[in-house]
Amino acid sequence: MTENNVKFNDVRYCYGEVCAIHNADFEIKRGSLTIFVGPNGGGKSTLIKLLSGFLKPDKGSVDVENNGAIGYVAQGFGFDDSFPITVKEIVLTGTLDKKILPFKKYSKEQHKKAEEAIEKVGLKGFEKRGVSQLSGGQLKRVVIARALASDAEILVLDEPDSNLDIEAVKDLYQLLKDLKDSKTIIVASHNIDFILDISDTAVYINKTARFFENPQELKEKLKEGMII
Amino acid sequence: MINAIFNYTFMQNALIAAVLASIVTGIIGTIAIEKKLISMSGGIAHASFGGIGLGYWLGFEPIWGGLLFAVGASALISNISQNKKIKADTLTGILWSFGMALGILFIALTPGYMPDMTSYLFGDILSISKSSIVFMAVFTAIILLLFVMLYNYWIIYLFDEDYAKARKINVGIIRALVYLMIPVGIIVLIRIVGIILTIALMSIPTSIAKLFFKSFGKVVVSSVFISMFFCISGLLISYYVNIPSGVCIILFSTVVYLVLSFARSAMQKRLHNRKMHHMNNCENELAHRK
Repeated sequence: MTENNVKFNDVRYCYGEVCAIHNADFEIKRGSLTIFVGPNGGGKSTLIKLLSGFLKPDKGSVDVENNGAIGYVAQGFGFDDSFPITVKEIVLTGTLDKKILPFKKYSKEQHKKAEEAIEKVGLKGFEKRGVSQLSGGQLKRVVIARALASDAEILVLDEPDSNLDIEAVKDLYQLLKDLKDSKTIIVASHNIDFILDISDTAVYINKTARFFENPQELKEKLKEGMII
Repeated sequence: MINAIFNYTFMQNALIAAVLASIVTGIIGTIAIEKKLISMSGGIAHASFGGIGLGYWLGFEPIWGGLLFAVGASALISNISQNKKIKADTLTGILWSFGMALGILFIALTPGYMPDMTSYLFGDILSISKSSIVFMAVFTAIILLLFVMLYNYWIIYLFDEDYAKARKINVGIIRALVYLMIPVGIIVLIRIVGIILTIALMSIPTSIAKLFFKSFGKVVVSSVFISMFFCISGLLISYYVNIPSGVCIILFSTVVYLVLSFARSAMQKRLHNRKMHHMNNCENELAHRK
């Protein structure tokens, strides 16, 4: 995997007798922004979970570079916003080693990485804010900063625009566009108007996966109702 | 009181026990609250009564029996919570009552006079012996060491377990430690406030700390000091008014918690109203200028 750092090899996953996804066979290029689109229940979240390692395929395999470590941004936040933690503390957790090392303190380099990531997502000055003092859009930026601070090459975002107003969605996608040179970014979203214009490749997911080298081609097909 | 501390060994033991229990409360309480395991902790505390009864019946130190049952109950709930067919909450409820029933059965089977169980049920900080202090100190040291050793991993696990899993961090080890440290911590606290009142001492100091601090480390450290304040105040009240210490600690801390949370929400409401009033004034002024 030199040019591509994510490979789905004829993947199938079923919940009991109901198959959520089958014949998913495509590759994602390093340093690209790829969008997963498709109807509700089509298998987008299942594919994201397979990619993140939360699910194991019934058939086929998912190959992810760097031993499968990814920067994952969940659909909801996956955490309680009353947790006593500051922006800096959250982003620092992104720099933690996979291997549990006793008495591990954050090094100066890890602090620097976290500060750079915070600045990159436009939250400089928010370092000491508690998680409960942030808006939905700011929280999304914090979890993206955490993923940026990690050594993960791949950033996976499941419905990052859910519960955000239009301005926050535009800002978020602009941020992803700015970041795509440094990471491989994969986004599952319904918001095709915004994201298809900035993405490099797209995958249409409805029980099976269809890869589009040109996202505009998918946009046209969706507009014409040629694929549902 | 100062004289009593210098003159009486039981007062010195009580103070040391209060400090040790507070360290446990700060750590275990924060973990249980953030992982939403307070009800489970209540179940484990009550299940331990079965082991205490077994100790009386078979003639060994009851607290060791309590520890055995608490760890066993915790392991059972931990395994069941990963099996979707049975809800951990349901099992917690069952173990809660089953442990109490077993304890009563074992005590009834114990030959001779029925022992007084009040100190196990409601705690008695003033009757703590030297050997109990050693017992508490050893387990408090283990809990403190594990917490400090893996501090940054506790944060990632407690805050966002899914993210830790996606990063391929071995959360299984940390999860296993949670289900080991909580029962051990509960057994340490039982000598202070008893089985029935343990969960209040685990929850109140952390809940108060969360009203004022936004950082994990500050919440844990301040929980330790808040718990110390409650335990020593409860001890003082108990010494002077001759009411069981566990009861004094919990009643006092609950009142303080209620007053502080009410005062804080009233203050926030006032600040919000002032801000709204200021914004309205600004808007009116702008409209007037136009």
